[in-house]
Amino acid sequence: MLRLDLSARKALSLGKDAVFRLLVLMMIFLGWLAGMGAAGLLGLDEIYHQWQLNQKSHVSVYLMPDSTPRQIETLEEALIIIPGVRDIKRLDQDSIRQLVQPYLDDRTSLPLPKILDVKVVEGLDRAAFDAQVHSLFPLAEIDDARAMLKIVADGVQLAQTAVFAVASVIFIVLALLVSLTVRSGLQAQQRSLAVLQYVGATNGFLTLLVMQQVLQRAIIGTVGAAILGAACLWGLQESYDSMSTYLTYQVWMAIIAVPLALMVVVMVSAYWSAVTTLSQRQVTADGITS
Amino acid sequence: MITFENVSYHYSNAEKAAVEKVSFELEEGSFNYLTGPSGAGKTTLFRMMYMDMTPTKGRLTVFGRNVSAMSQDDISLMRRRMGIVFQDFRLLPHLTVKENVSLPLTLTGPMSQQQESCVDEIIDWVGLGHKSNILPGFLSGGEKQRVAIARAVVNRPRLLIADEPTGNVDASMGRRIMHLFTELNKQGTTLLIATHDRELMADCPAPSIIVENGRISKLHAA
Ligand SMILES: Nc1ncnc2c1ncn2[C@@H]1O[C@H](COP(=O)(O)OP(=O)(O)OP(=O)(O)O)[C@@H](O)[C@H]1O
Ligand SMILES: [Mg+2]
Repeated sequence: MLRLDLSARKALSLGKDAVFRLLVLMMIFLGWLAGMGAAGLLGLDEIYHQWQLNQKSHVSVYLMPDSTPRQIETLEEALIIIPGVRDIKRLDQDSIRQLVQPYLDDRTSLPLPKILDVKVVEGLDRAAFDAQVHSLFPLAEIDDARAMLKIVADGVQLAQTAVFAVASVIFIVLALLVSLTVRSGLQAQQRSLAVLQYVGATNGFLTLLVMQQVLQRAIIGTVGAAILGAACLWGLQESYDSMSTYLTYQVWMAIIAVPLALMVVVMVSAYWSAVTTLSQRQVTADGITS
Repeated sequence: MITFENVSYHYSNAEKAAVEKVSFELEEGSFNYLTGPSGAGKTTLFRMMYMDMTPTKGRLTVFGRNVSAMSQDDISLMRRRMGIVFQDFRLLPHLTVKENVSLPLTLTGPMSQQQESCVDEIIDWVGLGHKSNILPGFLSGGEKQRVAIARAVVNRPRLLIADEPTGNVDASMGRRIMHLFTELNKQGTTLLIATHDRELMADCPAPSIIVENGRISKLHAA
């Protein structure tokens, strides 16, 4: 970029405009907000993903309490050869008691069901699996996490849509704000603009003067927002141990990338506003200044 | 260099035209005065020359180009070859004397060492060396006028148009400024000066274009 002389920069100073001076603070705040939103979105996605993997990789088979070890063994042998089944574990009585406790009276004498915890992979043929179980244990229940998964997926999607909507609003608001600021700033500097044009400043040069001032503030705003966001993530990580699993590389990137994207939006908006405002200042019938 | 062909200018809010069917030509390297009573249309002619407004009728060419067919950027680039002294100075109030004078040189990037010293030299020449870091608001009318003149000549323009450049300065400063102008003229700058000052015209004789009621009434040889 063309380097500008200090006095040329001083000649068209948008810094006098109160809104323009607030630009840095606005960018820090909105950039941070949008960054945190995006980071939260990605973090939530990660949480959901990890949980989903966990849910998907286990199938529980509930057998009647009176099932004999021999019958169970037969089932195990039949199941383990189904493609996609990795491992089968028989839960011991204590774990089962713990699992079903919430649904049972404490001193109940009801016999406990037998539970098989089957570890599976993605390519499991569920139909074959279910058919095999039911051929040996017609009354067996196969715990299916799919319905639950769908509810959670819908919830996650809703949250993501909401965050996305808020972030979009932030971007639009900032773009409008910058546009308005540049326009009013140039409007307020008609005299300086006219004098600069009298000594030979082109619209390109004047645009450059505007862009340089916006860029200066946008950089501070972006860096500020990124630092603030990163500090917040760091704080979360330090306070909750479990957090670090979800604060993936992408989450950290988002906290920096979003303010950067915001800066691009600000620059484009400022450029567009400066160009249109300046080109509308064509020589009028009675001159620019009268 | 500048050609007026039947040029008229009618301010949109005025009853009659401020300039009416004016034709004349300024040759490259020439030196002319533009005189006439107050309200005759001198500033209006100037404003058309520096392309602040385009003729409502007729044809005006500056540096060989029709001003009615130029874009804002064409106009800006043209003005880089012109020095303009405005009747009302048009300094930027938030820039110091030195920054105001430097302005035309800053359009193409930071100033060179040589340009810096050229700025200092010209400020010294108009007698404001000791006030170069002062804002225009603290200057007298005559001092502001000298800043405006320094800004107009700092770029060594090919065309210098000055609207009453000595209207606010004393006689000796007036002569000093005229000396600077004639020096530039000798080096090839085309010069057009609007003035009422008969003494000045007698000191530095040159042909005059006399405007009255928006028309050229006479072309006076020196
Ligand atoms: N912006 C304007 N709107 C309407 N009429 C104007 C405007 N500027 C000048 N005029 C009119 O145009 C005519 C010529 O004005 P101009 O300023 O060209 O005169 P001048 O010769 O420069 O006078 P002076 O010697 O006092 O500077 C005058 O009658 C003036 O009232
Ligand atoms: Mg005048």
